[in-house]
Amino acid sequence: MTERHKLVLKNDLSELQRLAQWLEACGEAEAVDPKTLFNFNLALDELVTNVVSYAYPEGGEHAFSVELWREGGRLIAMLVDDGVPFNPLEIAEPELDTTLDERKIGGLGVHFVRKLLDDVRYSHEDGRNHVRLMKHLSV
Amino acid sequence: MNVSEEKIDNALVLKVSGRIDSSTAPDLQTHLMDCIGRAPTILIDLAETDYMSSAGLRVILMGAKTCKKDARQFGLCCLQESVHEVFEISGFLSIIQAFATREEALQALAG
Repeated sequence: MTERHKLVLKNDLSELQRLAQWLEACGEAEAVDPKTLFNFNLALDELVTNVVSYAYPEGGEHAFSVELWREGGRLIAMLVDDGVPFNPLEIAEPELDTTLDERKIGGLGVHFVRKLLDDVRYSHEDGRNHVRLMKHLSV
Repeated sequence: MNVSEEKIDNALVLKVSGRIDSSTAPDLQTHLMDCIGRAPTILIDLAETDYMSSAGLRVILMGAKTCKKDARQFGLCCLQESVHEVFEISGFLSIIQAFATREEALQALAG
């Protein structure tokens, strides 16, 4: 297992920019291919957006964290927040095969998370939401 | 993210550069909704958009629906590979017209 990279974020959407820059730097340090990095960026973007938008309905400033590390041929990310318990995997899959008029936007972010990663797990431990993302690195 | 607009005959082309995520999408929404109504054809040129999340797709979907309701033409062009992938896995490519080049798009939509 390599070094665990860690980023602490505030509940503000402007943090997505910092998340992207941090992932870029991690990708370089861990020699991750651009496509895998893009997949993690999009998935974490969607999950972080959910945390910022819904995890702290009482408002005020809160901090939560993202960690990223490499384990052999796998890249793993862990998002941990102490907001409202929320399992993104319980979100219904969007209906993709519809006409323009019928098409709804909901659930697309979590659909990307499921689609772009090889394994997604949720747990609620010690009062915190943990979402773990894993993808096999191409050789 | 930056948005610039260009009028080409009957079409209004919105060129979006940079990242479209949940922090920048509201700005795109403002631009797009302001444009619809000013031309019979709206084309979004994504040649310089290197990233889009579901927040951006939400705005694009809203634009496509509004144009359809008003009987206007709506399309996208010049999607980079990663943005194309996002459109593909969201199923949007079967409901929104996307073209390889601006010329192709203008010919098909406004021609």
